[in-house]
Amino acid sequence: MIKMLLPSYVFFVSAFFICFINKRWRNVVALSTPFASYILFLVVKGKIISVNFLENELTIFFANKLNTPFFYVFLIISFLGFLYILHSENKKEFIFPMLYAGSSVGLLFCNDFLSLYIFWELMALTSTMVVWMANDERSYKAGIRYFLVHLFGGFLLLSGILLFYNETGSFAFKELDFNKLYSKLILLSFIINAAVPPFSAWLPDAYPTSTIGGSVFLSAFTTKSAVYVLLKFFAGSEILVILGSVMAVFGVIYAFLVLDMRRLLSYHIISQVGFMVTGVGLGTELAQNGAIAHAFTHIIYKGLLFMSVGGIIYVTDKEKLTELGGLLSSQRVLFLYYMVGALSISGFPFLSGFVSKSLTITVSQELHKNFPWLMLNIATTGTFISVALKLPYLAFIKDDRQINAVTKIPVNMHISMIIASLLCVLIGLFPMIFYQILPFNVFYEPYTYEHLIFTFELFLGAFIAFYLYAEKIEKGHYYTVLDFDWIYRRGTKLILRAFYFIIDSLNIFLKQALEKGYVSIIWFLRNPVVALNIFFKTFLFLIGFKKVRVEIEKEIKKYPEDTVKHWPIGVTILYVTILLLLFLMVYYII
Amino acid sequence: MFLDKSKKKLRIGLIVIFLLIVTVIIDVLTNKKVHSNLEKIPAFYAFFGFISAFLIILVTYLMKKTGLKKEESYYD
Repeated sequence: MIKMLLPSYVFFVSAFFICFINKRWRNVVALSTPFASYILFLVVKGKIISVNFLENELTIFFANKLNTPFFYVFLIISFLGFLYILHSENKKEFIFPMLYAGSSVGLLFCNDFLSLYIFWELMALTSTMVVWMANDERSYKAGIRYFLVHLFGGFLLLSGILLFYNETGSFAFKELDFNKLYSKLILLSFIINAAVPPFSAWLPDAYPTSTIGGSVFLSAFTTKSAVYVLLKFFAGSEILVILGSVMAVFGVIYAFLVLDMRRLLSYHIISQVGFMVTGVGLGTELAQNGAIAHAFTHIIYKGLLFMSVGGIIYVTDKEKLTELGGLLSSQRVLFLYYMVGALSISGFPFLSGFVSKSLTITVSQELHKNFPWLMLNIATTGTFISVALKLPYLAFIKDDRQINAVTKIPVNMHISMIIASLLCVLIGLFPMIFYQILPFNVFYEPYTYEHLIFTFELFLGAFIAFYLYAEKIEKGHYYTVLDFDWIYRRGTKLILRAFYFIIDSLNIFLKQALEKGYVSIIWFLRNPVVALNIFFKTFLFLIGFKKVRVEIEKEIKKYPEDTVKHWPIGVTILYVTILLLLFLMVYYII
Repeated sequence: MFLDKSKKKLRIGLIVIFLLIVTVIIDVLTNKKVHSNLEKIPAFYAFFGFISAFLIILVTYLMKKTGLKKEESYYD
């Protein structure tokens, strides 16, 4: 019986019921599901639940200090996300995120590779459905690309898992030997889900195309569960330090380039996951705490950012920064929510990002690792200038455009954003309580005098650079920026075109060769005797008998001549007799 | 209207510079526990913030110039 009472199953059951109930009950079920999941978690906490499948024991529930913080924040964002879309008439907007959240929670608690793979693929499938919720061509196409990338990742994971099984004879989690091929395959599949460049383009490609509520859910689960599995298996891998540092800066640079609000925020997911991946790579207890703390705070403030940007889209029906401007006068509250999220993500003191981001940076400094320290600080500055300055400047402050509000923001969206903002502030103000949920008991004090002064200096310096540049930001026309998705959106088309060209040329060549060959065979067969005669004479001409030229020309002119030869009947009988004789001899010999 | 806006902008700029000067003065005048020698440089992080923001702006400008920027319907 207890096997049926898992925290992840509640989401699947709720999704099933939502299919059949009316709006009011749907809202009750959606909001109570995260609580129900938490209660079940309390019931089964401390137990290890396994099932038998194909003669293998699969551990489907195993809670420890590593996965519970992720579980808590997944529940918080599920609750906030459902609250945010409570006004929606569309049932799909509840069913698919519910399944998606359930798969992610299932992934957190499983403790063997086969269950991991099943939840991994379930997550890919359900998140694709969340992308498709927008129900338009753009999201449909982006969803297909998203799904294909994740299928590829799933395929790598499966290959790794099968090789692992082949070697160990069991699916149970064990430490992975990094020198083995299966570890590399598994790491690669995790890296794809964590959106490490060059496997990152699926994220800013798909996330902005979903509905405004869908983006909130998408921003939370996939990348953070990848961070969790990286922590579980690859903590301390040197390569992750480099990858994480690079992706932190890669994300901010692209974010500063793009003009679509949700795409900008999506690039910041890449950048922020870079902080977490670096933390995983550094591998010390404090760094691992940092990765988890940052995943926790990130999910909340990124949810808040997507919610407030979703609010702008909901109110104006516009999401390109080229079409927006001067919203501050009409949307002050929205601006406030947005700025709480934006300053949190930048790591502004007294907000949540400050107390989580600094853990990883401090560790890199203590270990004298200059590269991650430099890159993460650049990423902090970049985050500040693009999320906290560029986006609000272009959407809220620059150009006093008269943008007519299509509609008002519903109360449920306000409440959701208020709770998220409060969480950002509370975590920022009381970090010591927040640090209690982290797995390792390491003391860290974020509010030191030096840390505050340095952070203020960093932000003020960056502000001045942006201030000098601000006037020059060209709003102009909206444009697309090429990313690694060019490879499968355009590059493969070019390769296909090259193939088509080669095959087409071959086709034309063969066709012409065949036609010419066919014509010459017919020419030859019209009168083979004379044709052979012409060939022979041409050969003579070529080796030096210039006199035969006239004869050749004459014969070609006359060709094919008279094909009927007037030979005496006796000669014919002679030939026939010789043939018969030959036939008899052959018959006799054989 | 135009004048008002530029005045506002100027005021914001001046406030930020004032805040920066105050922060830097506090930074220089007090003793700090530092992790590396770089942090001993007065106002190191202010320069760091300014230069890294400038670099990001420069890199994005160069990326636009080198052809990564395409028209909206590029993929259609």
